[in-house]
Amino acid sequence: MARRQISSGFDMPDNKASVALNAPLVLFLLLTIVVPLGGIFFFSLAGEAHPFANYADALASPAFVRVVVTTLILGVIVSIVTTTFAFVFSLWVLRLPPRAKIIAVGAIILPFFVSYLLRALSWIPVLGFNGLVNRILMSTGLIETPLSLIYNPFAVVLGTANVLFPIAALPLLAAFHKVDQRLLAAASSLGASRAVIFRRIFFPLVAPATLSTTVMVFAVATGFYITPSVLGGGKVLLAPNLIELLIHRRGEWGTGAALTIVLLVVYMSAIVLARRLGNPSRRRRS
Amino acid sequence: MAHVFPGKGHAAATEVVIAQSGGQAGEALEKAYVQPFTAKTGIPVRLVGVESSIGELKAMLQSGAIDRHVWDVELADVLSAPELFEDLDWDAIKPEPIFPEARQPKAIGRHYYSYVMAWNAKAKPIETWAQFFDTEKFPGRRAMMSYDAYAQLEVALLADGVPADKLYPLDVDRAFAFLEANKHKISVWWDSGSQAAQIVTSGEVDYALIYSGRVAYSKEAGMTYNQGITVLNYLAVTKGLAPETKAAVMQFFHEMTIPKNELTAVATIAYSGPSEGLDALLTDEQRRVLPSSAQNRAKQILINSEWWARNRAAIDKRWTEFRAAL
Amino acid sequence: MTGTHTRAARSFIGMLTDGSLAIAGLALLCFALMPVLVVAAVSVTGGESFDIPTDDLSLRWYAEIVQDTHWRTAILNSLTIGIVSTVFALLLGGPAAYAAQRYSFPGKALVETLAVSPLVLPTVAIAAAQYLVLAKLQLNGTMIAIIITHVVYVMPFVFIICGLGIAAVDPLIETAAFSLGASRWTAFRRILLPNIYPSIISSALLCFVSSFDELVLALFVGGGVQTVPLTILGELKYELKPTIAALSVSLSLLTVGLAGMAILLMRRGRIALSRLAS
Repeated sequence: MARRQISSGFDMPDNKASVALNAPLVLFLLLTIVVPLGGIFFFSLAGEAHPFANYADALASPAFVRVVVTTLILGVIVSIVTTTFAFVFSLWVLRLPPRAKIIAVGAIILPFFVSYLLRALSWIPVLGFNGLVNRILMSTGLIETPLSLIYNPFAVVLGTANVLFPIAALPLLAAFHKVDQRLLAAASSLGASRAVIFRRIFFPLVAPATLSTTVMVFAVATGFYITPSVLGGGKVLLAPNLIELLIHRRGEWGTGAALTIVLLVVYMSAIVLARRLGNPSRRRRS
Repeated sequence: MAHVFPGKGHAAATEVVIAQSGGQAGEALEKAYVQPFTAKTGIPVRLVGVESSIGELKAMLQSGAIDRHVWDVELADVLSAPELFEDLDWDAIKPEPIFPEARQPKAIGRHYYSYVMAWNAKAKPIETWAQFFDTEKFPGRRAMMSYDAYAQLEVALLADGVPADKLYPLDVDRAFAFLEANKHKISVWWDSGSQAAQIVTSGEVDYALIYSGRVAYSKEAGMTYNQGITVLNYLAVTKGLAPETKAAVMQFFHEMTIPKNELTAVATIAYSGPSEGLDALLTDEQRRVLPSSAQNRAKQILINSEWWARNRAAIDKRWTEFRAAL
Repeated sequence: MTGTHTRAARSFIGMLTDGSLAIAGLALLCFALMPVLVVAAVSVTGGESFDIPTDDLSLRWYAEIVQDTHWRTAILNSLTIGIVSTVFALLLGGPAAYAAQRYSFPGKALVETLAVSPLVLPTVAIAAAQYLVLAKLQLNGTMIAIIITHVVYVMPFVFIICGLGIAAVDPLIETAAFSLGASRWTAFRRILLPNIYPSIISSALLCFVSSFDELVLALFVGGGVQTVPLTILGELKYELKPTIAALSVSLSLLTVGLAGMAILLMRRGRIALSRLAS
């Protein structure tokens, strides 16, 4: 993360220039992020009986607890699956000739241009009862009656991982390309096997990027709203859906605000925990 | 700000803004009632929103800027939060004959839809909700609705043997106990009308509780109005609306009571309006598929909105608990 | 948890030969492209439902977009929101990205954390919070509300991508320009801009596409304003038609085309510029 810093040579004093450059954004974000989050915290404490009534309500309800736990578990599964997919893919792309590399990277950027709602819906013609997979399996005679492949947690994981795959692959590809190939070549010439090179040299070098990608995927996945409701068959109720239901559809701002704060706290602790877990191992390897 | 975005603030009756759920229902509203109204009065009507929920209305009233005048609502919502809605002026509406439930102090009936049982064409047809839950005699996968207990508690009680005329007040504990005991039979809890139709016509499930309109004309699925729970959907008016706008809205509501206009609506969506004169204009095919034709009204149960208005909040909470444990 | 995951991945991937890696890579490429292919296929279906065509093909769903006024309004709204949000995101995020790369100042870490926070925090939490504040400001249900939330939502792309672009430009070149008497504006226009334009274009593109596709924020604060994703959501309630597939394909082609043109134009401009300079 070492960034080139210049503290002299520019004709304006550092502070004055940086204040001028930062002020608009900081002011804007104070008004649009900090104040609203403060506001929702305030709302969550405006319980009728006592300040924490909304939290007591939320935590006393098995549904709320279950929803938060389900959201976190799904987030963990999706981030592991997606990062693994992206890792394998990036490894493959790394060894491709330059032209093929450009095509492969271009190809995974393509889905960005298709509506995210549609990307969830597009699994219905593929995995549905009359879908592509069932049609192929039936025509090959492998199965007699179509399989139920959609409207279950598996479909949610698949659909979410699909949306997040390019988002995870891009930073990993960037990190893989930064690895000095001469290092690997040197190890090879010294007689190290490929498995050893991968384990002892390559992986330690890309581990930090892999970890931060996993955390990022987790962050985005836990905020997913539409994919679970389109592909989950109603059995996967997640925190974002419950928050929308409470605050937006039912107008229950108090409990909705409390749930939002609980989600934020649990979620930020998960990220901090992941960073903590990541750091010592990184130090040990290097 | 008000000049940048028309419709904000207390506008004169230059425009009527209706918050409704969009899709084909919005298209029907537009063709059947908006077009004749605008042709007569010259007042444009704008349809907005996909989620015309009570939460949105509350937020709008709290903000004090009325940018949506008419809301697509359930009667239970109006009855449980009357302070959000304006009284209708029925003298100004001068309705043509409509069914009594369509004429409410704060709401006017728009169209009927029903929660019915449907089955894939390959599955054995069913006649009762008891058979819907009978997986031994009628094997196959089932689907119900995920986001609401509305009408599904009635379904559970009918399936559990409660006679139709003894349904209300609903025995909520019994209904939830029945659903709890039978939830393992439900493979998919659908989340939208299009999804419900997609799963039953494709064969993903064999039986589904579904909105009547989605399979009424389908060749891939069958359905019956037997033991259907029929709901009249309403339009209501934002509290504190400017008098000129309110007067325009009353004129608009008159258009909704004209049988000819309602006939235009059912060409777009299989949900029929509350006009008493509509039935005479329908074809036999339409009488078979529309929820409020004389023959289908007789088979169904009209939802009790007073009961739901009193109990909805508590049931919503309980349903969330039930749903999270699926 | 992460430890066991990485260990498993390590041994698994370590065992992969070139052949199996190629198969896995290609399979993942297909997996990534599946929705694009399906949407393209659905868009030319001759049937009535959102499905992969089996026999007859037709372009009628493309005609439908042009004819339907609801889609036209939604597309126009989404285009406006996308473009305005992108411009504001560039104006706010760009200077801050420059400051973060070129200067050290007190509270820098805090500013950086704040700048990327919209990307890290769950969108639904931000949406819920902004919904409450915008309701107080009487802005919910306006295009302004959606634009405000979208600027917040897409700005981190500018901060990160332009930041990377700026970092790659040697600050000594700018220092040299200043010492030769160039004004800040001239230095920006003649030195920084020609060097970071790919970052600006790619971040602008990402901003636009993300805003155009954004559903949750618009659902909360948009009230009555119809955007493309909200219209799709409305359609989901009753009947899903292939129109949305045709719409998505047209818009993708348009976006990709525009981006390609922008890159070409900029490249020509730069060549012309460098010729002038030499």
